[in-house]
Amino acid sequence: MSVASPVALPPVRRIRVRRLDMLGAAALALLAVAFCMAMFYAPTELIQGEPQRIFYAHLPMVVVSYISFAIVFVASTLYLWKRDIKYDIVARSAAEIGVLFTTLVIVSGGLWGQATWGTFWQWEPRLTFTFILWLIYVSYLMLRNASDDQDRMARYAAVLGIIGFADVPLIFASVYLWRGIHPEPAGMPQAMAVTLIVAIAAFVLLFAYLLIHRIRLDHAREQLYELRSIMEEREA
Amino acid sequence: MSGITVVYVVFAIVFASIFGYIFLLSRRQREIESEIDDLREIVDKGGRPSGP
Repeated sequence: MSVASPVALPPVRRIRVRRLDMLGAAALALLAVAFCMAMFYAPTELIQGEPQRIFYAHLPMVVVSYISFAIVFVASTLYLWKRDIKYDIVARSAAEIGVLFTTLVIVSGGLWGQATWGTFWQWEPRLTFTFILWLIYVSYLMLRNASDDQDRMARYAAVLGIIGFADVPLIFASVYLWRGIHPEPAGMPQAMAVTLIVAIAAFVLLFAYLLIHRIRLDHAREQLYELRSIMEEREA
Repeated sequence: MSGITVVYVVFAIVFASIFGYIFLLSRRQREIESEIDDLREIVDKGGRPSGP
């Protein structure tokens, strides 16, 4: 299949693509700054040593995955209420990005645990609830392709997207409610806090870029299905 | 794995996954837009697609 040149796009679409590219470039630049700060600016933690630097990727990705699933929750509720496809597109786009970041949270947390606790995985409350969250939204994505009846699948997925979000407060509260090996949030020196804030800002900006990019893709896909159905009607 | 190596491994996995995802999104977007442009041209002409 041939690849369209950006020159062939209409002017309005070209400007939007350029703005999106700028947002992506800004996110990646801030991500590079956050990486340099995590490696060279933030002090080495006294107890855990160097592996603690994984925290500057791990925690921002946790924040981004929670934001993703909160968006799935709101967009799914709006879809069930208004039955407007645009809310379904936002929900499925956010779910896909949420699953990507939750996968990275589990992998980065496992490697961090291996380096500091001596184990990649333990069935302790926070890790288990995070794994359940991952399973719920992987199921959500699989459900979307389970049938050709897209409206029905969108309704079922919206219900699952709403119910699945109940796991997020459980993950948050699990370190306070049950005893496990995952640490509770604690205070930190200013250099660590500044690095963490920059890293969170970088990942949130990156999330915004990915979400807009993913939504644009689904809008284009809907447009393509529409054109295909026009062609099929003509052929019939 | 030594302390600092595991940090680099984690950041490498994170960056590779993010760049990979962006690459896949961009490629799919270009393919769909190309197909839309082709189909729109045919629809505007009021014709039928050529080929099998």
